[in-house]
Amino acid sequence: MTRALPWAMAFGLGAFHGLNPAMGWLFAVALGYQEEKRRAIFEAIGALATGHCLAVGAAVILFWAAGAWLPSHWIAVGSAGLLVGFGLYWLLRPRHPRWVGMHVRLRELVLWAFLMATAHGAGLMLFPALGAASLCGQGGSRLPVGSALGMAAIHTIGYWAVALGMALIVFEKVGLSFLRKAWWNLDVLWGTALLLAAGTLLLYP
Amino acid sequence: MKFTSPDPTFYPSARLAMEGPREELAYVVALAADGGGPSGIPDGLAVVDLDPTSAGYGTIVHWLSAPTAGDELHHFGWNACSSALCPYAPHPHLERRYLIIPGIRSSRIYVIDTKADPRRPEIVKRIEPEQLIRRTGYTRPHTVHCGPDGIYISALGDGKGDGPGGIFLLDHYSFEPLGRWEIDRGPQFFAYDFWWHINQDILISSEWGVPWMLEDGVLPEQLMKGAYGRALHVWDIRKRRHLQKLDLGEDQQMVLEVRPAHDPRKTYGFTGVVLSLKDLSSSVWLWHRDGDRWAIQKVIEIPAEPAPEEELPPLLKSFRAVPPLLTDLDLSLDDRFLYLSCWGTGELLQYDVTDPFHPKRVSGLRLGGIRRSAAHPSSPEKPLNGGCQMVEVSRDGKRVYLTNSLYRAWDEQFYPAGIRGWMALAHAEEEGLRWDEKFFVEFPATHRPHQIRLQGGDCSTDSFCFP
Repeated sequence: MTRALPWAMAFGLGAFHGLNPAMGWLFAVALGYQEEKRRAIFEAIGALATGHCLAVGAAVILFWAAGAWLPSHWIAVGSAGLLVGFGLYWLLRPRHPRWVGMHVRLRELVLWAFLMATAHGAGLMLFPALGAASLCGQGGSRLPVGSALGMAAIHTIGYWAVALGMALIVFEKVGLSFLRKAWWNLDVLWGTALLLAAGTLLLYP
Repeated sequence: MKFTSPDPTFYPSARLAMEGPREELAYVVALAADGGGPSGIPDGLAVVDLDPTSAGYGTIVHWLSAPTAGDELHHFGWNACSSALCPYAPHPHLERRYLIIPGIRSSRIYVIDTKADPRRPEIVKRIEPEQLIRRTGYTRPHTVHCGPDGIYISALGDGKGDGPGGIFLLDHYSFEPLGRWEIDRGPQFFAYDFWWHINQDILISSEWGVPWMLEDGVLPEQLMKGAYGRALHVWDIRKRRHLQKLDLGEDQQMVLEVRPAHDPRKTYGFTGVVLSLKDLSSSVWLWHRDGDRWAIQKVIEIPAEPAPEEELPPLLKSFRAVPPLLTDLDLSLDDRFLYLSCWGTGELLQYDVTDPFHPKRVSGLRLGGIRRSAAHPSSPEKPLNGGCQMVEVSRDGKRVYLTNSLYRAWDEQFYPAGIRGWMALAHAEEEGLRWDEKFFVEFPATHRPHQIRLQGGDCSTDSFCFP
């Protein structure tokens, strides 16, 4: 049960990231409308998930590599510091990204998702799950790199499923008026989630 | 700021914006009739009641005076609009709250808060001309557009009153000028209006002239030489580079407002030319994508009206005609009707542009005009001066609001008797346009109205990333 928990966390966080319109599904909906076909949504979400996966994967590798020459409590404190920084940024000073426009090729979407995820500290949010996995999964020894990457993969699957679901539901069923009624201020929620992740790392390093 | 939903005046698509509630207030800039020089009277922002169930319908319910004289408030816009929902830079929890009002003569920019009491807006920030020049190199700010990633403002000239003019950006949160927008301006020199095809990453800008050609009135010798603007420019928004110049020809003088289709899938738009040197006509041109390039063609021509010399102002006597002077146009949110206002003849024209290449005239009304001085039905005996000029269409496309002043120095040339400011409303119905007899706002003799902004957005503010 406790072994599965970090993996469930990684998956759940992926779903949470997928839910955020700023992470991509909204872009996919717009492209679907622009090209007037559902296929465009599948292609876009595929590209976005790739970019998201690369960003999260890079953060995970960084975390894993740091474990090779830093004691775990240093990593926990360092990661928590980063998380608090990102969290406060998104709570207090959300800014406009300016990386692409609307007329994009798929590889630009990959880059966009990569940059969006990185700027939002999406990979960082996974650190408590990684920390937990190395603790309860491996009995205190270091987490194998395969497991770390598996965590990123599980996370991406969660992201992909929710983002695709959101995009298709809005495109096919509820329509654009959904955006007027139910668009939560996810910057606030996101900043809070980052701070919670920092808290988790500090409490259970 | 609401946590669970965006500003209710942000609409993902033009279609949804048309279904929004009816506008209840208009903000109208008014410039001091004497420019503020002799009298020291500053310009102002009038708040006009548009709610037909209210006792104040069709009256000015509040007047906000500028703190200094001589600004010449002209065009203005909102800090944020529906483009905040654009998916590549979504910021749905910004608010449509502040009016950004530049002084086209002083180069000062006011930021006005409409949230606390929409009927009594207040000035909350000023950007002084020195700061604008230092940060951007530009002066004479004109069109304000709320972009997905910041506030875009066009400017007619540089610090010396010459060119080139261009576009600069304001930060969405602090309203600080960020700098010049163009990285590569190519052959572009004149500036005036601009807008975009947001889903194509294409910006279109137009040409009037540089400040020294405008600020003391139209210069007849420059006009006869064809020295005023005569082209549109196509830009890549992402790279901020000039892509293509669309030259309308040497007879065409002053290419003003640009009105791209609101549906982001459509790649065409309309612009108006004030004057043809050949026959004083005005014209509407359609730009459209043509393969990898952009093309432009004339789709409407409005002829000048012959007139006896004695009924004309000195500037026009030798021509023996009243030019229509198409100075503004507006496209309904469904991209169906194009409204043209002809400041010379006082005519408001409605065209069906369902087929943009072949516009069909639907109806027309007259109010004011150089020679006709057409009266409003609310007092048919009283001749009006000025003519239909700035035009703004309600989101649902059913109401068309107009004011009658152009630009102070030019007002004196075409209407030497001095313009008495008014604002009127035409209803767009099945059979065409009809004046609202209960809506006729007379401005105080000290002031003349120019651009109108409708509370919650109108047909020349919002851009939509979804169709």
